[in-house]
Amino acid sequence: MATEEKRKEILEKLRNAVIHYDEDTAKEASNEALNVGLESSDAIFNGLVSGMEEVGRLFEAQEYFVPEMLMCADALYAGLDILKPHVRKMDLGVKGSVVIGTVEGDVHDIGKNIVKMMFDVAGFTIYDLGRDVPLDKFVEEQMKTDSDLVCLSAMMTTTMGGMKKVIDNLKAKNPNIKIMIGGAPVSQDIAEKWGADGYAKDASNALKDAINLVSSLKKLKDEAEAKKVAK
Amino acid sequence: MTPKEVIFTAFDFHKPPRIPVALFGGGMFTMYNTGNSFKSLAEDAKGMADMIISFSKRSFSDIVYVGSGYNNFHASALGGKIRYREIGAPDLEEPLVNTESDLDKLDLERLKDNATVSAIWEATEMVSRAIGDEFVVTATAWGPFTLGAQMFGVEKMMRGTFKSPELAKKIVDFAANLNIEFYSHLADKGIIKMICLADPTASGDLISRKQFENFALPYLQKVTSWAKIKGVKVLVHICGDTSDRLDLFPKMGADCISLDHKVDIARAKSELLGKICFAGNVNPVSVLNNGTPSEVEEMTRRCIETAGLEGGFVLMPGCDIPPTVPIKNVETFVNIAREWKLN
Repeated sequence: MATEEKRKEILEKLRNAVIHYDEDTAKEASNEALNVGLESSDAIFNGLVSGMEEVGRLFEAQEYFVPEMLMCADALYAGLDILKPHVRKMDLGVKGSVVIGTVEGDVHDIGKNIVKMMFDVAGFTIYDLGRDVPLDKFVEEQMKTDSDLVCLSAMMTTTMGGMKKVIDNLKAKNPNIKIMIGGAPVSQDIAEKWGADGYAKDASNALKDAINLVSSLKKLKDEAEAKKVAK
Repeated sequence: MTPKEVIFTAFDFHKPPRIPVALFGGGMFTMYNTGNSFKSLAEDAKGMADMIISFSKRSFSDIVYVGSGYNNFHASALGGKIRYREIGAPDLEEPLVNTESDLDKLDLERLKDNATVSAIWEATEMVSRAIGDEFVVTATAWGPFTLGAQMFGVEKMMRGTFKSPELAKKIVDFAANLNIEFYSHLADKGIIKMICLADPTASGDLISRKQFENFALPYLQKVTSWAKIKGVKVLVHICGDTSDRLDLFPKMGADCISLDHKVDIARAKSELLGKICFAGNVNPVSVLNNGTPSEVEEMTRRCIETAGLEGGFVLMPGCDIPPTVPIKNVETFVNIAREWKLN
């Protein structure tokens, strides 16, 4: 087993590799973590993901922008590819499944992909419909996979109207479904007006919000189960 | 004064008799309200021109844009496939440049062989002949960084600013040449007096100020320098929050910068007044699409009062408007400006 000092050193190296978008160091430190017998989930969450959280903060503070974010994500994945096969259990307390995609007419998927990556790292099951997704497809896929959460992205003022249709259709079919929307022209105000349950201001907020939404959904389900049992 | 004179007076930092007002692009809005589709008009110059001319009679904009929504044809003309869709503007199926040698193979001459590009040129000429004395008639194009990113793939362009900056710059430079090639056909014959570029990928929501300075600004400058020689004015729109780079906009060499609703217009005024005419920035979705006419009135008045009383300003939505914006809202927006006298 690695000493606490060595552990800290490797975690810091992983974290910094992500922050400074250094793929080579991310790989090197991930191999080092395995060699000294560090728990891979420890290396992932307290090293790589902790770095990505800082990246999220830098993004929010407008010190980092999309190119930096993509570079950091590359470093994160470089490490994940090495560490993930060694993870024994990946459990953040919440397991959820999510349907995600960019709405019809809109081919902008960078933001959607960054959010997807955060979900992926957090252990969500993801059904990614890609970009320019026909509006009915969201409803179909949710029904087919019985997912907890549907995430819609749009980058253009000319296409975002499609989100409202998907929200209406989903809620009509399944009133308990949780829906989160995001994208440059979207705001909290619009999310509320259109009946979405969450608004993803950016990727880290999307993840936080998703965990809350799925938790509240699980709670509802548990309560419903408890009632059934009580009867 | 004609709407055209009102706009150009503002471009020269003077006070026109009333607040100038324009939409930006408006392709989808026009198609939606005239029952046309991008596909049906794609190669029909007369249809395109008739639609624009008849829609201009409703006076929604002092600037009239021909070919709005067809911007991706400029790149596709050189070898990319276009995909039409029920919702949204047609776009490229795949990027057309992966490597430097792909770029070297592209031939600007092929632009004129594209049926849609030719139709846009022809339609612009017809529209200009019909209403060009009254309105500013122009076409639309992506700015160099956005066009380059479409050609290379947006994610690849984003990473390219770090991983292959020289190639990224070469692609954006080529895109600037493509802009010039596209507009030469209109400017050389005196058909248009202003060109229009939308550079949403150069947004403050996507790239940093430094990347903007390195990868977007020099190539915008390349196009504006060309425009200056040709004696045509330049309108540029950049989406998103560009507050951190407002001071760079006067250096662009454009005559007017159109700002997104995310920019604080009071701050924009204090940085830009007298240096470059600025336009904006009523929220196209929350206000124009979702608001009531009285909300539109309130926000429009507030925008004019904050930014427009000293001239050198054009009232615009913060971006292109959704097709579903209620006509009553657009009328409210436009009429406030048209009735607002400046003296």
